[in-house]
Amino acid sequence: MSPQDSAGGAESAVEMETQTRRNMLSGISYIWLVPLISVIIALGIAWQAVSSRGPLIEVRFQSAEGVRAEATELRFRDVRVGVVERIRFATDMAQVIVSIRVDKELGPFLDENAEFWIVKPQITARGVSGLQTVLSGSYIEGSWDDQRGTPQRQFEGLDQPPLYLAGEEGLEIVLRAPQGGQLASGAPVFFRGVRVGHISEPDLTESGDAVEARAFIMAPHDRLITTGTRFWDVSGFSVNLGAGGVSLDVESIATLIEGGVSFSTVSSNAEPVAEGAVFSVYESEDLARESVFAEVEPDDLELTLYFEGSIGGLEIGAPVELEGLRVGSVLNFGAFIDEVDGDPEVRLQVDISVQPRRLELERRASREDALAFLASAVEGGLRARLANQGIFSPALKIELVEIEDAAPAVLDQGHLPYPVLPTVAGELSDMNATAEGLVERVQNLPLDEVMNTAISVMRGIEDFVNSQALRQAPDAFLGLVNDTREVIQSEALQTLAEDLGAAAEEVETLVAELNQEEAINSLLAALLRAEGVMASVQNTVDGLPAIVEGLVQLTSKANDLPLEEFVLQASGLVETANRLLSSEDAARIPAELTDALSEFTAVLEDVREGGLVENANRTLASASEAADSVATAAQSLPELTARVDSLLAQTDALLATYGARSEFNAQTLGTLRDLRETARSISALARAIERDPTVLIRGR
Amino acid sequence: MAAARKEVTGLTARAAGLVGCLHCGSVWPKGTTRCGLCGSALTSRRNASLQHVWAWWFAGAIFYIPANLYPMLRTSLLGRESTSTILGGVLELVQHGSWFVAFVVFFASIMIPVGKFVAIAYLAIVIRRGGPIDSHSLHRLHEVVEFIGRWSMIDVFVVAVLSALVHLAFVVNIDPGMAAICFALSVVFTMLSALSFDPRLIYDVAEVRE
Repeated sequence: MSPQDSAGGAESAVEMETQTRRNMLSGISYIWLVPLISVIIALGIAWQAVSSRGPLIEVRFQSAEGVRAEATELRFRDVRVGVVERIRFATDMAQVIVSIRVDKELGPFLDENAEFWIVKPQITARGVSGLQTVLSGSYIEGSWDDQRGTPQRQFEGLDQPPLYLAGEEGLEIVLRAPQGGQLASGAPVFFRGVRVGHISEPDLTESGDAVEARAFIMAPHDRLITTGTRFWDVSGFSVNLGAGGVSLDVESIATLIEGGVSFSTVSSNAEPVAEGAVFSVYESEDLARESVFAEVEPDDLELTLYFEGSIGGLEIGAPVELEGLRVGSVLNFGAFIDEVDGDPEVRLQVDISVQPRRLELERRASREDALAFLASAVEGGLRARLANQGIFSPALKIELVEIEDAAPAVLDQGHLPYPVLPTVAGELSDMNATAEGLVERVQNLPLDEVMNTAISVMRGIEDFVNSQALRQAPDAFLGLVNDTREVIQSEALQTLAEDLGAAAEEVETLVAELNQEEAINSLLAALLRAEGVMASVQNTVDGLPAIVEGLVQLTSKANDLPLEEFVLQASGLVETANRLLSSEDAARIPAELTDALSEFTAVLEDVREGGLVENANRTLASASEAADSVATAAQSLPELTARVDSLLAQTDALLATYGARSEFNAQTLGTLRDLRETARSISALARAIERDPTVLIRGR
Repeated sequence: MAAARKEVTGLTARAAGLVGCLHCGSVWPKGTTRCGLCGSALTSRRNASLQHVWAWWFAGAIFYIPANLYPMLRTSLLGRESTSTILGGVLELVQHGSWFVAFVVFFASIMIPVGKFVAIAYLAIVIRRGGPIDSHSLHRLHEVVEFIGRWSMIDVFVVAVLSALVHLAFVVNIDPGMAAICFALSVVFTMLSALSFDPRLIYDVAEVRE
């Protein structure tokens, strides 16, 4: 580089420099506003970041399971209110300190009431909780009330979710149970089957003889908890075998697995309890209710009883009852030998405790009051005795009863350690005797005889039912029907119609012969034949009684049947038939016919004696007279027919009422119809003769 | 070599009594205020150039701080939200063994911006202070800075694309963090700073030296 160049360069550099200086001095360029604004903005961002940052709190946990710095959130009622910034160990390495940046506006609420615990997925019998943490990871749940207290920055984390959230209304109590199995963390507390609270993780008491768990009863159910409240275990299930059968009690499926307790107010004089009151958990509801009496209270009155004879069946805790009401329980008993007048005698001593307030005294009765009451009662006849707890129960109880005519005794208040209440012999033996007597009486019942008699009666009934007679009843009825059929089909009845037909034929022949030239011979023959006809008719009529007799037999047989109506109507039929038979008209017919025939005979004789021609007219006149007589005789026939008709009608009606169209019915009906036809034929013949007697002669 | 370079350097426009248009490259007589060809304003030297450079530089530097302190991305995967700063992301990638990606991110997000700051500051200081310079190297440096400046925006592009595409409700969500805006502003400001630099000032310094 040459000096010239250097000089020139220096010159221009000086020029430039002065120019630059001038510029810088003359005024700061507007462009500097840009970094200025940038600074302001940057500072603004920084300030905003710093100022919006809430307090950093530190929570100590036993383990930071699932907690990650910069990722794990702090939630309050499931709303993100902070994030874990840092996780480190405490100096003693026993705990993990989780630093959480909490939202600024929540700072004032984080006072000593705040609680923190880590929410993890949990699967219990009640259900699944914290499932969302499976995907999103664990988070820290916080709980605090709405009171702004003194802000705190150091907290102890909880291993378990707290029993109740801060600010939740309710009552916290302590449940004490002999076994921890009844109490499980989160197990429900029921009241009448409704879940009203839950239990925390149980823990042993300091002495180690019981298990305690905190329980939280949610408002408004917390007012149900009083000093008279008793809790009992409802975990698992209980089977009771009693007189009412088997009963299986399960409070809920959840209690089967993780248990639970139920409570009820069993004592009336109850007062509200304070937070943290301790309650015992009994094994069952019955025990819980009985516990009201079993609890030894400071002002309980202890008494001593002496019994003679066995007290087998008496147990510690057995009830002491006054007029059926439990007033106390047996504390203790034992036997000792007492020297009475030099004779060693075994006496049984029973100590009982009586709760004064259970006696018929006012509330808050003191021990002295009770003693005074008992002393006066003993003077009035109050005695203690043993009694069975139930009819068939061997367990004993102590009864305080007033014996009307008791031997005078007093309450020995000077006896130590407890006053002695006089006793009387129990009613145990009586009870046993009664039961025994009952059994004996049952045994003495003539059960065998009764059974034998019953068996023989049954057998008789069976024989009767199986008897031949009963079986043959239908057969007898069938036989009757057959008989009836036989009667109807009898020769006599059948020949009646035939004979009548034959008679009519002969009459016709006679008349035809009369018409012939040889009148006299023919007439004679005709008359002779007419005589035969009449005889036939008589024969026929004579046959009627046989029919009737058959009918009588039929009805008599029918009578034997146990059909009242049938019998009555059949009787009527029989009567009618009898009347028909015994009627004089019927009897008269043959006689009149005979007369007519004898007149014929006379005419014929006259004809034979006198001249043929001369006597011819006379003969005819006589014949006419004879025919008239025949007509007269025949006039009674319609009446007979009518009677037969009415008989038939009656029989018809009878059969109609008899009912079913049995074979018997059909046959009887057919027979009777035939009978009617026959009667009508007779009637028609009679009418024809009546209208024109000459038909007998003319044969027409 | 120095002679050869001197020959290349030649005469400056100002020394020749001319003023060159930065826009179209034509030269005009000294005193002309407006380019007759393209209408751009003509100045022989931008006097406030260094002020502008420094102003933008500072603005960019200021925003570069929160860009590194604040999270670049807010990723929520299945409800689990995580944030990562630039450097944190690089470290995470290194931990995962993705050396190449880590290097790219580191190069684009840290090396280039920081290198730009250093380069611009160096240029401005050298011009301001004078002294012995290699004007050719300075020009090259200036060109490199100008060229490379826009590539710093890669980060911002990545964030913008991810934020726009990855919005799968509960499953995966990516949102830009505060750092993204700051980083973008920082890059813009450093680019403006580089642009504000009048490379002709290098000639003057070279002339002075010569």
